[in-house]
Amino acid sequence: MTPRRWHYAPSPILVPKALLDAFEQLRAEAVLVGGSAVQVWVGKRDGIFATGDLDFITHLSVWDLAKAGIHVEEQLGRHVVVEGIPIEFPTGPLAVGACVFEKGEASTLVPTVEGRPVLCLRPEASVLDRLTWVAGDQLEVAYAQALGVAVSQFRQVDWDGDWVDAIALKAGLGRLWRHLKGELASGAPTAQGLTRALKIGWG
Amino acid sequence: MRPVGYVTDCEGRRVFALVPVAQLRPTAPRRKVSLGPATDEEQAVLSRLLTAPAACLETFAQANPIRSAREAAGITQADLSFAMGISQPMLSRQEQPFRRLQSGTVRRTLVTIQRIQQNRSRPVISLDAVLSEYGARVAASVARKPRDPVERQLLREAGDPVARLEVDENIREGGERRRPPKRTPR
Repeated sequence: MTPRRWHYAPSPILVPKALLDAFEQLRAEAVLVGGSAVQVWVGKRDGIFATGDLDFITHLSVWDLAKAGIHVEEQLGRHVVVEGIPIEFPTGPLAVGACVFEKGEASTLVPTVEGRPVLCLRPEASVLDRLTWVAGDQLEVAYAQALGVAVSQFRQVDWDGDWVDAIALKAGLGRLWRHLKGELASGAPTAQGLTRALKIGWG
Repeated sequence: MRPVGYVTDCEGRRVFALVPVAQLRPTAPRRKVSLGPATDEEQAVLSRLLTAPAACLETFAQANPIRSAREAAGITQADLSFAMGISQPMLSRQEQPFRRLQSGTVRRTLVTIQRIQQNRSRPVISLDAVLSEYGARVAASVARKPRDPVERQLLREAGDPVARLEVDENIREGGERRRPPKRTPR
């Protein structure tokens, strides 16, 4: 059998089997976001690119999962621990900064270690998602993550540069994205580029 | 006149006669092949072919814009069809010579080819080299990451090394999303 071809170049991520079962049973189109999406697109598991939890945006609540057979020990709001992995359900809708995405516009299927695919924030959106942390919190690690996702994916056939340009403007990240794009085009991002990025902010 | 088939040129060679049809001015697609005698216009084109078979080659050179562009860019049918979200047989059909292509289809395909070319020409950047250029400040900034207190607690209980470094004062209440500040009306 021909192995399945994935869009972009994702790395399989560990998602608890019980959670995949619950999503399937509840027909939830949960989208992996945040640090977990970064891990999928960069494929590294060190302190900068790895994540200890999984963030899913879905219409489901923790109690819906309990009804689908997930063991919920205590009321933790948007959080639940499944097979030892902390899971968070951040408030939707799927968005980056000020830009709210249409259904299916910013997600793509990625492989899990278990074998079944899950939806994940597409890498162009993941880059912008990280840049919101640079603009809002001046976090160096977030800039490194944005750069890591772009470097790992921007040569793939599916990477849509025009789409990122348009969404960056809508999200209020136009200047920050232009700066990162310039660094990527130079082929050698610098520490000065990082320092400058932290001063750019929104807009 | 049959729209395709072989005709014999002035030297008795058999020539595949797609060309006369392609050289005619565009007309609405026919539901049936006309079996009647050739029109004056068809006959004129055919006569020109019979005396100048090279016309056949000239027309063939501009066979299909999609295939020409794809081959010039060095992109496989598999890559292009995957990037466009269509099946390879469908792309193959669109690449057939003298296929009646809609301008939108050609435009979409050419944009995709251009995108793939742009992506392939991007520089290869070593992430490790960039991180080493950034130095320790990136790893140190992890401790400043604002996080939901419940999430931080769960991560620490699960043994997450990054969450252990985080400063408790930096809170992201309710996992709120980072948004640009709203502009105040002037």
